[in-house]
Amino acid sequence: MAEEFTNPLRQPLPDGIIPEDVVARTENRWLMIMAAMLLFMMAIIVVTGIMGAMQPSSNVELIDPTTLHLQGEFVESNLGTTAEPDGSVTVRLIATQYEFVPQCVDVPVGRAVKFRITSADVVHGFLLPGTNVNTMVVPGFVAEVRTRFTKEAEYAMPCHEFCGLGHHAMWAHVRVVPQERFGKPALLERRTCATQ
Amino acid sequence: MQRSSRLALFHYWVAFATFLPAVLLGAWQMLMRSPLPAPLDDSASYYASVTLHGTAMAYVVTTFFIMGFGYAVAATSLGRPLRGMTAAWIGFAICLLGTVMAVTAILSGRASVLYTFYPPLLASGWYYCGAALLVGGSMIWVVLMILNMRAWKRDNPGHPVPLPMFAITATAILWAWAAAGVTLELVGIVLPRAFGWSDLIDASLARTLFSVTLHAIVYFWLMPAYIAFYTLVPVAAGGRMYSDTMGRLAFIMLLVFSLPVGMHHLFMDPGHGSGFKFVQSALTFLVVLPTLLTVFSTCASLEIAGRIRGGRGLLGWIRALPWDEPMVLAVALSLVMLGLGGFGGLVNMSYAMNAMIHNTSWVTAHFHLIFGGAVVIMYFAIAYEMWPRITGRPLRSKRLACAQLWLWFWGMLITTVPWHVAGLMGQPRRVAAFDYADPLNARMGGLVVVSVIGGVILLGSAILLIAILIRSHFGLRRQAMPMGYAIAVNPPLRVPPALNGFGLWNAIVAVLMVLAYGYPIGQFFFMKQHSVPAVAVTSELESGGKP
Amino acid sequence: MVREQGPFKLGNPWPRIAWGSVAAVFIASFLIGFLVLGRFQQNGPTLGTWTAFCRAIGLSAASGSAGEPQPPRRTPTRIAWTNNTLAQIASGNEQHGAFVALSCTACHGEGGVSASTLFPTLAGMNSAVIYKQLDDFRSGKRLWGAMGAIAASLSDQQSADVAAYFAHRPGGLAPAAGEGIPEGGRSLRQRDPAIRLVFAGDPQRGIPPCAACHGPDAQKLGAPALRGQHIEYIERQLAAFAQGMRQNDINEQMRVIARELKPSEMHAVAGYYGGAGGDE
Repeated sequence: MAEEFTNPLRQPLPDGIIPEDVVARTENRWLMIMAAMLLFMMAIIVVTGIMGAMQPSSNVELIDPTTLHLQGEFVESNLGTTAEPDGSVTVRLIATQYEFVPQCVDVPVGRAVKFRITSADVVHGFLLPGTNVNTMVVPGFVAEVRTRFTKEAEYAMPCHEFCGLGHHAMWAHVRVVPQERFGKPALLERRTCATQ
Repeated sequence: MQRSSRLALFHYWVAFATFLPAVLLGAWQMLMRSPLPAPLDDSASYYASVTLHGTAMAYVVTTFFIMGFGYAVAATSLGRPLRGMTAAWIGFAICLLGTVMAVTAILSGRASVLYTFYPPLLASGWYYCGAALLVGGSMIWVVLMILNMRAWKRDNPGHPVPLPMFAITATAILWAWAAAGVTLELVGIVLPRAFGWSDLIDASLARTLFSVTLHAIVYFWLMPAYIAFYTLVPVAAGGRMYSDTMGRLAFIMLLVFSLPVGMHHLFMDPGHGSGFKFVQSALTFLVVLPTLLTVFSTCASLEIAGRIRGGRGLLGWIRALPWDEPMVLAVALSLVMLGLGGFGGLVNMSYAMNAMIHNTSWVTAHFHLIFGGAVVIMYFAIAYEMWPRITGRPLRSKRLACAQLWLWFWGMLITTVPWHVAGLMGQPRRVAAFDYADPLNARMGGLVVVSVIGGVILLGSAILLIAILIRSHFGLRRQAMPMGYAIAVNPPLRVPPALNGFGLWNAIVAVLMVLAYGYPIGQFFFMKQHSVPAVAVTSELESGGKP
Repeated sequence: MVREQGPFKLGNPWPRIAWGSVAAVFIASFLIGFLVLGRFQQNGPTLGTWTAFCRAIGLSAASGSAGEPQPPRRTPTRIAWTNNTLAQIASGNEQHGAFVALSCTACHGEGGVSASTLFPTLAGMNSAVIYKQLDDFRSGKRLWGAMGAIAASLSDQQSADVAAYFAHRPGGLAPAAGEGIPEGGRSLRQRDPAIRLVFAGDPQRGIPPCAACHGPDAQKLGAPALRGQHIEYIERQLAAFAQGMRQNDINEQMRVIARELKPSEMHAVAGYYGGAGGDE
């Protein structure tokens, strides 16, 4: 049995059952409370940004994706993990359809780590689950992510940006190893898991 | 009402005819990503499906539905017929042509670039043409909304524009601003390369232009749901709208603050410094305000209705509400999903916290919950409200409609909650298949299976929706009651010009866009060479200069 | 009231409050984002105001890593897929190429269809691939017997010509696009290990599906078409990549993959491509 239409014009209430100033006051009060709450959240973001330097990347650096293999920082002999003189570690990777090169790197726990990665073709991305390492890799630019690993782990590192028909197979590995196992590589040594 | 009701109905038909197959694709995709065996197990088909599902849901279903809703609102809230019928039909035809082009290109397997295009990946030029036509055709709708409101104001000087019309015009203006981003990207960067007129693609500029659209478009989708909150829900509940002024203010704030915030989709991009990323993050906080205002107003309106119906005590009015009304049930379910999804959104936009979940399944779960859940359930309720009035055939069974809404609600929760968790665990997006033998993926396998169950429930709900609408289409004809919109507790006799027009707000949007996006976009024109070669997504696209 | 209703009339409360709050939010967030937050970097010293501003607006990069000392440079090839290179390849003239190819047929067979598994079939090979391999032989980045001397005797233009010639020869390698999709689809659940590797790859080992670069799914620039190539030749090249005897793949793409493949898998995928290329 079909239901009847609701008569929308049946408005049993007279105007002004709640005075206008009451309505305005409640709405304003709500607005103030919500604005204060949002301001508080923003303050937390600013404070953590200052104290923990927790921020998205800010590194605009141009590079030519077609000549990565010929010159510059991302030639194949320069990829992998590098120990810097100041004790930090730089990891250089290339993202290409459809793998990361090198596919497996070691980094020491507890030391400052800087990932530098660029794309040879399309937009890729990578992330280490449970860490702040998460970035887009846009061809023409170098993406840099800084972090410090606090515990040993082996991370499977997916490409998280659709990069073509082989995207689902694009995974690499990052192993966070104890400092003793990482040792003291020479300045010009470039390490991958395979060269351990 | 007759001529424009046919116009609205045609738009709704296209929207819902696209909706059901898109949900089916979505359910299949959930199955493909899971450890369970799936039919047509093929990764290339998966990527084509994601493109089709995304294009259909994000561009086709929404645009057609909102255009139809806009025409219906304009024809029923102003107390006079809609003006510009011919132009409206032309716009409909253009949008439909664009849709057919895009869908055909995707089905041919040559456009698997996903609805976000991802330059420098390159798809068939027909896909981009179709998308451009769809967006361009909808601009006719935008102009008609503005013209209809203007004409009414001219003929009714000094009177406040009825809130539904004010709000849908705000929606239209928002869409015009938002669409500028994707239009410039398509026309200026992608299409020239797709047809071989340019060599390289400025991928980072294209992404930045697209980000202008990417966030504002979700507010384009959201505003009709809020229009229902303010103007349809109180009627269905039997009460009054709490505050007309706050409604206007909410829609204005949505218009202004949903635009200069798109860079929070680019937090992880290397092409931008963190300065403007933060500025746009701060502005994004502002766009949360109108949602919070709307939630308050809506709950207050419901409370009025509940107390009139005899509800007593602090929360007793909730039980007194007419829960057998689809619109009332929908708003309650929508508010729950809005709360959950909104929380996820707060994480996404919180600058550095974004790094935890960027491009993981958390993001996908978030927008399915908030758009596929909170917004689309209101689209259903609007359809249940308007379809009978247009066709003159009331809903056969409100109980069935309510059951469909409950199914959608539970299906959406069951799908998206495990998905959020998987995202926190680091599950990447847009992956056709996971190797569940890998220990990392194995931990997530159970979660994905639960999501599959949710997807099946959603599919059932979508089928039920279509069945209800079709059944009502062939039901008994009754005398159609005219569309009625809620009256405010204190109906405004006059409103300030700022709340009755968009001159001031358009000016603010223009200035804000220049301030927030001027440098991030402009920098690409002064940066040294950073455009890159395009990469065809399939082998059949090789063209010009390629051996 | 037709009195000042313009958007910039700050005498009225609405424009005043609207512009005022927007300005306040923008200025505050600008100052915080550029001059405060921008100074703090992870694992690095706090920056001065001007440096922080330049970094935050994107005018300067974060680190000087690019200028560090590097180990001796090793490059896989001289070729880069720049517009110039692509234009050179596209300018190849088939007729001239036919003339040059007269001396290739002794090993690579009549019309580029090789009868010996020692020499690859060139008919139907992408011209960019032939061009690059010739240059790699010429420069010594790829070593194989007489090919070095043969390539050295060709100019760049002749390489482009002969590449264009062979690319259009029929009867050799199958065209890359679209055919040969297995019935079961491209799936990780595919039982046949050859088909699984070719069409779905192995995510755990980071092996992409061969078809995504070598066809039939997509054709990556510089990736040779393989369907119809000699099985033993494919297998030999995979082994050469794995053992580091062949090192001319850009960005180590093939070396990284080949090192992960077991010899039985190399045999399987070579057999898949080298056979009919998959029946459907």
